[in-house]
Amino acid sequence: MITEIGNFLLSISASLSLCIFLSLFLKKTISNEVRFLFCKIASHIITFLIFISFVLLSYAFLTDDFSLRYVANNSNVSLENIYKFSAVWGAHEGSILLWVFVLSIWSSCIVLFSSSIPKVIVSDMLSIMGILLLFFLIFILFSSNPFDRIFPIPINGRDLNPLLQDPGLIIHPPMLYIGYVGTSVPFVFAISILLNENIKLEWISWLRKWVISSWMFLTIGISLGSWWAYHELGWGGWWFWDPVENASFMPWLAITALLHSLIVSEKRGIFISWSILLAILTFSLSLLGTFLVRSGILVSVHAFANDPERGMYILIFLSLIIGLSLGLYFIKSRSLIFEKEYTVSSKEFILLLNNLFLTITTFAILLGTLYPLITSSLNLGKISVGAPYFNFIFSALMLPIVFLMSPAIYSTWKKTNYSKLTKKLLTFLFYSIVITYIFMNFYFKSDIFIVYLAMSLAFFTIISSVAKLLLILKNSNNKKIISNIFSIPSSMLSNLLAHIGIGILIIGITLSNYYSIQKEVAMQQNSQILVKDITIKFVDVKNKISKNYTSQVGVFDAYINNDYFISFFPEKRTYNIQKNIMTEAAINSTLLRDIYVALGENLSNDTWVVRIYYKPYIQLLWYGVLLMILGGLFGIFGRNKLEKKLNNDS
Amino acid sequence: MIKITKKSKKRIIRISIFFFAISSFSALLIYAFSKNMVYFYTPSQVIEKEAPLEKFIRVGGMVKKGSVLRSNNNLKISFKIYDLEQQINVMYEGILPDLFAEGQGVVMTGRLINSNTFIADEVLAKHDENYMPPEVADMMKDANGELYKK
Repeated sequence: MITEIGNFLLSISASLSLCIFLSLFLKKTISNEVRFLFCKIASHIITFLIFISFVLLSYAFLTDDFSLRYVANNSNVSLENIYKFSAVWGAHEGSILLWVFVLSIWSSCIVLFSSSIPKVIVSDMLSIMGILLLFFLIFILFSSNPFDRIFPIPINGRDLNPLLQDPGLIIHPPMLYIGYVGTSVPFVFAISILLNENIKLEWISWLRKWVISSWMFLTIGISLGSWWAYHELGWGGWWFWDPVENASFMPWLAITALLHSLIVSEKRGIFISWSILLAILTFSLSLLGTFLVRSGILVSVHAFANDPERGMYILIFLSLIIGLSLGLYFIKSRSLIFEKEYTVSSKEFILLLNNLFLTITTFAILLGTLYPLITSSLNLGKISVGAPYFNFIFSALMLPIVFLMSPAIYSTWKKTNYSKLTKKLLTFLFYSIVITYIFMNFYFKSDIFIVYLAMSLAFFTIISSVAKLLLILKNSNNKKIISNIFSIPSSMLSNLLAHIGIGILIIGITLSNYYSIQKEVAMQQNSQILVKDITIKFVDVKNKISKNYTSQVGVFDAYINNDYFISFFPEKRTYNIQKNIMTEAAINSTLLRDIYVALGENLSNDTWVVRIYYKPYIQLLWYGVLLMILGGLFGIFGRNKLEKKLNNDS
Repeated sequence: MIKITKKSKKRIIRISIFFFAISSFSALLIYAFSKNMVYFYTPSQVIEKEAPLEKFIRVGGMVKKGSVLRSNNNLKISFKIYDLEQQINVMYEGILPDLFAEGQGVVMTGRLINSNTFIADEVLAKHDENYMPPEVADMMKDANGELYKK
């Protein structure tokens, strides 16, 4: 039954999406009101239908309905319920269904929150959404159908990939997808602006919130992935420049650039044409990411079982979308070019540089990710581009971006008082160098130049942002500090929080990268090892039996100055069905450091290979990201001046 | 003489700054790129001396059954990998990935010290018993394109 209902719902949704798209061509014949009403209702119906099919699939998983091939391949009776549910998006078919589901939610959101945009623009946006929905629905129905049957019906399923049986991975894909797919909103906006050859600055401030939302979810999704890799992969890294990571990082960089160029477009009415182009590129990169992950051409932890024909289908769609929208852009964008005067010291110019560097960074990562794929598909040899390339190019390009954050905060539109600006910034720069110097000498007694550079820049950003916050608080009339915080314009608060977050993130990355202590040793039971000031003693290995895996649990006691303070229980799990082995690291975190213990192989009876890491300040990484997300939340939910003014007027 | 207005002068300066930035970053990019390209070789190519010695490369193949030797008290390990025609020795010191096993596909980065010995810095094996790295899958296909299995 589920198969029929599921297919039926998806087919209806596909036909409705087609109708919404076709309504674009009836613009002249039917009235705006009627078309808007149709698009609006049809979009909601599609969302509802896809939601139901999503619920059906979840139901099939929770009730162990192995008559569905997808369920049989990715679940098992002994799987915990929460993982049965997350298995819905644990493999290809289900994750594409999630993609479409999220896309339909975004289009419904456009309907719900676009009262300030003319109906004709919104209808056009929904029509473009329609063609995107149609494509993915056809893709599901014809080549990745999660409702396909299997015969004979197996008694038990093949289990969810154990790698995915982790709390971090329950929400990582949905968050990432919300962000990924969210880039469709600026895309459809850009296309309908090009179709109508008309734009108003209020629309841009409306668009900015959507861009911030998508940016925020991408940030959450990517950082959850990192967090998971750190805890689950068992070698203490959190970013590997894996092509799939890059696939999510490129849209993030592009949308970050878009976020900044939209500020200029909104405030000054320039860079509009560029913003439109960036919106198109961002969505194209999202689609490219989907293609890379789902086509099976990648060598990556994310590349599970894949099918090259599916890749072809996405590739064709990808080329069509990019080709058509860029074509439209080059024909129509001339009408959107406005020029206004601004000087080299203006905020416009600094944001222009920000965009330039972010775009180059995106391009550099794109090159490193695609080049090996292109050479191998053209039989020009099998090449890979190593992490050193990405590390080098990314750090080199991030330095100017981070450096520019402080001038961007203090500069003003059109023209900035140059001497005042430099005086202020030089003071901050001086403080940050002093702080870096004291900190580094006191704590690490090290003289690595690049660390000093990165730390000074991070402190420069943090000090400038905090000083700006204090300045605003001092200048506002209200005496109570709490109400003062709420009186800061939310766009400013969101901007400062996110930039402080970046500063903290950089400190975390730099210190944990350069001053980690890593020990990989063969340890006998009852032997001990000294890491920094901590003595770690290998006590025992115990066997543990769980519902769907058995594991060996190491027991390690840690001492500081002969005083016991904590035990570690790293695990080596063997999953019953797929016979996979998984490493679960044991981590003890404080703000100052993480101690990371993981079990390697069993060499002989009582000797194990053990991995022990001491990572200073790595927690700052997650705190930095949290601040960035908080900044995003203020950006979305805070009301900006323009809206306040509009509300006061009405 | 062509008269240069203030506006067009500004534009010329702007465009030249832009091009300067683009070209210097392209140079940086190409430099970093060419230094970090890592080529992949099969055991046959290694034996036939197609792969350079003492250079950072990637090598992949199937781990030969019964060839894995490891020390009892340190992390040194040696094994053989093979493709359809040839086999080479691999030496490694460190922790192997969870799914490293005899008879499985493996891809490594490291360098060759002679035409049949590879010193691995990093060993990659995937978290799936059915998975074979694409490079290895390619080389294990015979003339008919059928996957070769022992």
